[in-house]
Amino acid sequence: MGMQVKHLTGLRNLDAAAINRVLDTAEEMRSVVSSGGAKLLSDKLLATFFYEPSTRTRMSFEAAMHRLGGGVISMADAQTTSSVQKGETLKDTIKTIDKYADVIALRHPDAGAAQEAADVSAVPVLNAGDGTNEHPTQALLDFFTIREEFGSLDGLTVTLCGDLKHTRATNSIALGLGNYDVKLQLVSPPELRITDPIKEAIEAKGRATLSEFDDVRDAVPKSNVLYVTRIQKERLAQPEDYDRYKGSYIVDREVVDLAEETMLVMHHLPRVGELSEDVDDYPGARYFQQPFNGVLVRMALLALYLDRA
Amino acid sequence: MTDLLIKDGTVILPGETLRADVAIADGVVTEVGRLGGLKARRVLDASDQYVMPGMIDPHLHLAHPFCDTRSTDDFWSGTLAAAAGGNTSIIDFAIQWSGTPLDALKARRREADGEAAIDYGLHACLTRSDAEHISCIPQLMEAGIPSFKAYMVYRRQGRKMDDGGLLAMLRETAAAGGMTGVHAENEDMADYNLAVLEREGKLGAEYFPPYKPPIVEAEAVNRVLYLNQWAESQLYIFHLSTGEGLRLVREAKAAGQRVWAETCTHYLTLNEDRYSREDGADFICSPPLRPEEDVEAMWDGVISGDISIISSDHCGFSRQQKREYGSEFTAVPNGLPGVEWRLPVIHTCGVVQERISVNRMVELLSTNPARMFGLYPRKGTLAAGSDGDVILFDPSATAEVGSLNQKTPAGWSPYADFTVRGLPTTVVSRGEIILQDGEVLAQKGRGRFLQRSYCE
Repeated sequence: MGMQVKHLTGLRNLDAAAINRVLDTAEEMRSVVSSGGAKLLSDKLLATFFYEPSTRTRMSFEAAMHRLGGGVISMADAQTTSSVQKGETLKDTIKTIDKYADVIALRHPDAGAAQEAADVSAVPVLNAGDGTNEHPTQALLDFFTIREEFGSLDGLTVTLCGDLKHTRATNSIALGLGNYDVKLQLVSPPELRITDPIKEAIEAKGRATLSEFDDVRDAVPKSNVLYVTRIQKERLAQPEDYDRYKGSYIVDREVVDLAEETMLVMHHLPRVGELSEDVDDYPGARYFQQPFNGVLVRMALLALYLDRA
Repeated sequence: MTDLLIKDGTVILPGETLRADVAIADGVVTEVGRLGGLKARRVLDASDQYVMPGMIDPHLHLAHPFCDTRSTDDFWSGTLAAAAGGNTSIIDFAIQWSGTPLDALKARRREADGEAAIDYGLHACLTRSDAEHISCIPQLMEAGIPSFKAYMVYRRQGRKMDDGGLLAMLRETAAAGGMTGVHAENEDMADYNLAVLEREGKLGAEYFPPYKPPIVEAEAVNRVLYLNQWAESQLYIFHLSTGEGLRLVREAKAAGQRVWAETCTHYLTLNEDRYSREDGADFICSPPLRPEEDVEAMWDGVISGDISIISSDHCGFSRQQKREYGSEFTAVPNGLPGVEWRLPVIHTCGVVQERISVNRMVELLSTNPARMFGLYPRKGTLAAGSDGDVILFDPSATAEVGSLNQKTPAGWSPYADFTVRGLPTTVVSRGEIILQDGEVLAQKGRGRFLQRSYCE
């Protein structure tokens, strides 16, 4: 049995059962990988259509498809190399790709592009990041890593720190965790808070509790997971505030040591100074610890959305 | 924590070229992409170098027996030579010289385990044309061998699989999800030519080509293609060397047959003129080096995609061994050392001379061997989850092969007078730097047996 909904546009549309299903399937994919030649999707073709270059996410999708025996058509730089350049709209492009691919992984600079594609696509669209909206596969991979550590997502205190207004991955993380009994602590400068529609969507699910902080040091002590994102100077109302904010949103060893119990520290590289190198030896540091999880989760998604899991 | 970060290189994969970093932890590639700020135990700066999946040579013969001796290498020295040539995996053969194919496999693994410097697999070469031995195929597959080889020649050496056995092998391997490969030559034709040449006293190296002219290969290719079609099996043709053989493969492919052809470095870069040189006997190998038009035909097949793999068919007899059994071509041990030079020679004659792209080169020397022989995507690519088999390759390094400090124990190279451009500088196997700027860092026996379960 596949997924209830046909497309993965964001975690906004997934409930706890669906997310657990993805994570359980990803776990099963371990044995597929260790046993070698899976042929589960040997008759299927994935199109990776990336309007923004992202080698890592694209390669992870493609590795996942290869691991399941499927084929890949890769459009690494759709903006400059495809007919997109000739002014073709996203909808028209998708209506062409869905004729020869069985599933599409789409990365696009515009928020809402995944939904726009899903509206017209005859085959499943998996959102590989759309503007400042969502990055659901990244969030699922993080949940997989967290669950591996704690056994469950329920009962955790999770802190998201940094630019929560423009970071699509934290949107997906927050929306996904909204389905669980999680204390969600949001740390950001006032002008970079998570947006109201996201907050409302989480509150509507009625499971997670939200609280906001101005200083990461206040949120860390009770945290089980600390998620660090970058703040771009140019996105602040007053760029000169950056230096003033620095102390409150920069995570170093002193900050993580405030945690009462060892917490997981997560980050999507590359980092530019918001997570200092002295955290690398912290026992809870998980950025880059389990990157193969990304392939397992994407294998699970491909199998589920193609109805083969 | 990341063990090894290969930074700022130009990553070459079959379909694409990327500016990317490659991270490896616990022997496995963890990510490929821009990984700024990632801390790693060890960092290799790959700027100005190509970063490629380790090469895979799927056709070579280490420590190959001849009369009462063997070619000069063993699984330690031979795999070091392979690594020096940018290879991180090889597939050698377990030839059924006596006993059962399973005995042969055990014996060959005893020679390799605890010796090999890089990962190695084996093809099972069956030499008895009877049901008792051919029925071992499922057991061999259980033991990690899904690829098989049949010699259509060498009756006198006890290695020939007759047509009855060959058809049975094709059917058995098809049923089990494996693949049969062949050394395709017609022995009767060669024997007839030999008798004629003997009567005329023409047994010098310069008469080696008329002993096995192109028809000797082409007829056997034609025959085995027919058998493969009839058996609805899949077929691999080792060391294709003639334009006529290629034409037959092309037609069979067009007709929907599952057939894949391999050629070797020497059929793309050396021609039969070598046999007229003073050292002509050193170049004796089967099939023979061909006239220039066949060499060009092989490039044509590589470019068109009808040839999927370039192997070395390495056989490391020294010059002394090549010469000590007599000067008649019938007396000379067959085979050319080549595992160490396949990559630089193909880069030079293929990529630098603009016949193929560097991406296509990686496909021919690494990705396709992995795909064909059940190693993909564990080997043959750089992707999250693949083994950390990576080489750094300096595309502008230039050297005369004869002046290189070669690791091949045979002590000579058929490419000695080639000036090559592009050399591997660092070889990483499962995350471990095993060779850097000519220095061996590998522990003896670190290479593992590649347990494989299927082909293509």
